[in-house]
Amino acid sequence: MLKKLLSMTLLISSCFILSGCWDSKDVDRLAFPIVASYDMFQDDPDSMKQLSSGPLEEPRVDVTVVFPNLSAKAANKVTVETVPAPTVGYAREKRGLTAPEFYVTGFNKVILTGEDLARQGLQQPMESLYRFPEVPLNMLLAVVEGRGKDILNLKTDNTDNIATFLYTLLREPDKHNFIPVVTINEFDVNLAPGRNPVVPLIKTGGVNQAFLSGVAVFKKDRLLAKLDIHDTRPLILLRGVPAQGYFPFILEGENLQGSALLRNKRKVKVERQEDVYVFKLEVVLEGIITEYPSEQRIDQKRLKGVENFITAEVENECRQIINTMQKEWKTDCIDISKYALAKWRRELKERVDDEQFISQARIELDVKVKITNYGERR
Amino acid sequence: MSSIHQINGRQLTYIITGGQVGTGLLALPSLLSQEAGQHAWMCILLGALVPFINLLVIDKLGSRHSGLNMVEMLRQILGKVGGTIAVVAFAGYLITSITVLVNAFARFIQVYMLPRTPLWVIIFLGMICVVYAGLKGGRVVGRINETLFFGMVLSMFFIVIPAYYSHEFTNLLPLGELNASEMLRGTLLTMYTFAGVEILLVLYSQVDKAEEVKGAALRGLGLSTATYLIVTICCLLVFGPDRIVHYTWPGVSILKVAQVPVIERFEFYFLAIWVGIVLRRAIIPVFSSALTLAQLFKMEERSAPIVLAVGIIVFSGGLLVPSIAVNYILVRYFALAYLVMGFAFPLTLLLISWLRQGVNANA
Repeated sequence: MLKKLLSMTLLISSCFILSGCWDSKDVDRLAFPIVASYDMFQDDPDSMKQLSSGPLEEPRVDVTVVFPNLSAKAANKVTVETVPAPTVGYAREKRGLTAPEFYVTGFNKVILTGEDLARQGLQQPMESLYRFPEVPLNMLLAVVEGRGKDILNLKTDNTDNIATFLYTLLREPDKHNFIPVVTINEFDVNLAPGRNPVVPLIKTGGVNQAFLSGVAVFKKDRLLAKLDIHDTRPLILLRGVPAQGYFPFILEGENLQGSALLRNKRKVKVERQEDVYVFKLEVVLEGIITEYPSEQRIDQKRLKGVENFITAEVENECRQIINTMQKEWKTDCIDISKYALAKWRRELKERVDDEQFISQARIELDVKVKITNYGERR
Repeated sequence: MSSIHQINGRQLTYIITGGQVGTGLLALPSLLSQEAGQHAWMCILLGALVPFINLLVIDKLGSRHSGLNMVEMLRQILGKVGGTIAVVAFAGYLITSITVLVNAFARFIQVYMLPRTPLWVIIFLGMICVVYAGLKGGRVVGRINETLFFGMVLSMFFIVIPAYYSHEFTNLLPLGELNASEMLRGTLLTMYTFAGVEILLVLYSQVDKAEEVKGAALRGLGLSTATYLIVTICCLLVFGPDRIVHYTWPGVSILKVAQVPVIERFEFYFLAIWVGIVLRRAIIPVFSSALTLAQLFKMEERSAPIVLAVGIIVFSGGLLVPSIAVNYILVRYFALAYLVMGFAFPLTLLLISWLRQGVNANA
């Protein structure tokens, strides 16, 4: 009898515990940021600088977040709020003073950084993201030409809000362009010796208020150069980021332009010839013709002509990037030093990031284009 | 031998694996890379040699003293007083090691799942499960390990998926830059994850067929080694030897890298399974130490008060470790303690047994 009574008491008491409702929070009391932006602090008249005072409170960064308003009566679909703070992690303290909702960072999808902050270095502003267990490492990262805050404050009529648009924009650009998908983890692993990150670049404009304008090249965590769309393609091909995109070509003997959809692959071999490191890069492009506006039928010779045209174009573009990289940037932004490290890690680890290493390396390039199909028409 | 503590060979395999694989697995890739860089995974293979020899030694010892439980065996080899002291020391070693482990488990849970729950509550809830399993006896402990092993297999799939999508093979290269001192330091570190096989000293007499012990125990060790290798190689492939050292538990951080549609947050599913799996690492030593003490006091059939007492000691000891940083220091000492009590102790016993009764004689 006593055993039954004890079992019954345990069962009933566990019902109260298992419900887990004692400290539950209704969804309208929560704030789920979808996109956050980090910019250099700018003392706007309407900024919340008044929240900061004291020597350790000097604002250095503007942290802007976009979170949907879950209340049905809210006039705006989203709240866009900027909080100035000395560090990104500390901005959470300031946010508690302005937004009553419980802040849930685990749903954040995109991190934008302003150009100025990126030039100063992103390791420090992004540190709290890697430390906070709630934050996923697959958040997408992009650099904004200008300030991230300005983009987040734009209103778009074509999508739910600017945040969801940015997420869609950055999620799969590699499916139709040579623009990489970069997560915060991708950025971090590219800070290792011999490696440097490349991050998509966003600019204000276009039908949805923002568009992908190229990539930002980093030297470790600092923004080094911005590349437009034209230069982005060869960089990504050299870097070996798997993607696919359209290539224009001119038809041989006709003043007509066509296009091909090609996927890329890269092979790298490295060897040491005395003191010079020789990198042999093979860029392989394979795909189909998507446009061939000619009355002439595509035969083997014409196909070869297309392949040769694209090969020459790509080779030329790639050589220009290699040239700029070795002479101007003096930073390995095509991710080849890792192959040297894979052979001589102990010896090179300390000097692989020196400017001389990449600028004095010999980079041999071989581009191969292979058209495998030409669609429904011949 | 008490029937409630009797296990079979298959259960022993899973008990050996369960006795080794714990929270340490998730931290191991980072700790090893700190010492041995891209060669971290090689340290595991080298490290596995120690428990391998350890198991062979214990098996030899057990087969020489077949039919005797650990207390009887130690008393036969070391005499009544020496044997009793050795039994208490061994049980003390097991209990101390669990306190470090339980603290690491609780801090891990606190970081990822229950940040606002007090440490003592997490340890207390964990210990309720551990003590309950221990009270049910060896057979139930064996079955628990048998069942939860498949959870471990499932969790390995979770870890392999991110590595499949975002790997970099150059992170594992070059293989030829081996530095003896780095490898040795790394191998020594693996000892804290390989510790756990020494419980065979206690469990040998509980296995229904003695001839199955060696094979079953080695299979268990093989499964643990494979688990460590999978996690370490996957983490190296994703983070690389230089960035991995910034993570406390790269075995979990790797799950946050994955972009899997619908599932989204991989790590929560993994953690839900892992909480169950990791408790095995505490259940087995708690049960083993309690069983040893029960054998000492001839209370094998009525071991409940001893299991409860061990549970209370572990709970209290788990609260004494003040921070994760201290835990990491203790882990290094624990690796040394394993070498002394887990590895050298059975080896010494075997040597004494040989010296006293001859190499080929069955004691």
